[in-house]
Amino acid sequence: MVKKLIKYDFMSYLRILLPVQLIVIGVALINRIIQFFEPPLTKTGYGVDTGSSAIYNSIFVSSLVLYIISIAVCLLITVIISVVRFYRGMYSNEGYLNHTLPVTASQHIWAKLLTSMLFYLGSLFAVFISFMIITAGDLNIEIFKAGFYVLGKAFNSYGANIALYILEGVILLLLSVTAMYLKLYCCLSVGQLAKKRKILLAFGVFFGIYVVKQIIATVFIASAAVNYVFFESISEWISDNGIAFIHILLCGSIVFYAVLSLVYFLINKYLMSKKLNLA
Amino acid sequence: MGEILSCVNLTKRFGAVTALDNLSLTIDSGRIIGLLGPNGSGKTTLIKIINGLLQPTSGSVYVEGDKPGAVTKPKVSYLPDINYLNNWMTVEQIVAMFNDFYTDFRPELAYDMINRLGIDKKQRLKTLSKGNKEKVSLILVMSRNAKLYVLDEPIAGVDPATRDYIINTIINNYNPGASVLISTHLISDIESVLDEVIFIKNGSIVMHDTVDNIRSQHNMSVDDLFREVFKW
Repeated sequence: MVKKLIKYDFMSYLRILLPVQLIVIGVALINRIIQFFEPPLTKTGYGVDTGSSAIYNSIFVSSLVLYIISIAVCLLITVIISVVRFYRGMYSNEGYLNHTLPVTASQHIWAKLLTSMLFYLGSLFAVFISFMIITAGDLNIEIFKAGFYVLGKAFNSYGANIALYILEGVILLLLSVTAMYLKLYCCLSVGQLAKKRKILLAFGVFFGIYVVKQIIATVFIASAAVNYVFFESISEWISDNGIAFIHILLCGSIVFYAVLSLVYFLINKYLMSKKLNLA
Repeated sequence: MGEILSCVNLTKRFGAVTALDNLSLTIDSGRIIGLLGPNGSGKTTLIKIINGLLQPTSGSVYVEGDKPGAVTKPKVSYLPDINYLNNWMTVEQIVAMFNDFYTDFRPELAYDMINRLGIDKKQRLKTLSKGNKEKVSLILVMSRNAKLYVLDEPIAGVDPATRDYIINTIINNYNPGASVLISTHLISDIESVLDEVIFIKNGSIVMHDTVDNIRSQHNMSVDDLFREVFKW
């Protein structure tokens, strides 16, 4: 059933997000085309004709700024559309159809989450493709050379730990995006409990979670200040065991986001199956 | 005849407003039942609870012995009183979606009715007229071989010709072993097809009887009795 739900969710996301992702690639293409009109370098300066080089520079910088804005907008819209689709599919008129399909609340959440993740990764891939376009040619080769050089150096210094760091980093990225989506879904699921102003309540819950997180962080920092001696001994251990510390930090973050995701998932499941309020 | 639907001491409150007040009822299979009451009497609230879209404040609902959930959804075919279909989809896509999710869905029957209406299956739902959208919704719901059809105000807000089309579609396509619960306040239009009626007022059932009994005992039509019971 999750596969079937994803099929229809995918269709609903694709019609909005594919054009957005194509725009990023399109803007990168425009920038690359502009680069072909770069005035030739001379010994005396940048461009034979200072007038034409000034025009080129302003057009190039403008297209570059547009490219950066398009990336930010693309990633932001990907998240916004995922949240809007969740709300529309679950708690607006479309909810009357989706909640009467023979599927469980868990299956709905999984389908929405996996589709959202898929499109988030799709947007990241679109950004990567656009970067390849904008740096196509010698610059591209140089960037890859530099990347492989840094990676090779890191392998020489840290050995297999680098592969583990990359693996832990990828898992952490996926789990942090998962937790982000489930948190947003959770806010909407609490918001739908209200008789009126459901979106406002959802925003309220979002900021409530933010405040709670800030309080916990502040308490942690304060306790670090109070237990100065204890934390000093920890910092000494960190400086002696840097490699292990990074693993602990990454794995600890993975566990943190996994627990957070589980909590948000269970809250969503409970609200969708026991407290649905399509009034 | 087995019992398809049972509501036990059902109460639903929205803040200070009581939409359903200790309501109990049972519906047997193979019947067409009119859920009749004025606006705000609790018809839609009851229907939403039957479909699991709202949770009761107290009391329980059972569809063939199960509480509303993933188990009961394959048994119930529900038509809400709003446009609930994904507007961005084409007619063909929404038929495919119903076919994907409901094992009892009969796509050939759905397409037969859609073709007879002259609706292009490639057309997006958002481009259909209000009447055609409602017809497509009804076609989808009635193309299922469900055990209980729950239709919320299927004939409200449409012209008399469309009303006739909707009533004929219901009568000609429902699974004869199933029950059909039709909520409406336009009684005269559907009276002829009903086996039973439930009068609901202020969240409570004031009458649940067969149409034949009402006619013989009260010597009046259901429509006339409704006007009598709900007289201001």
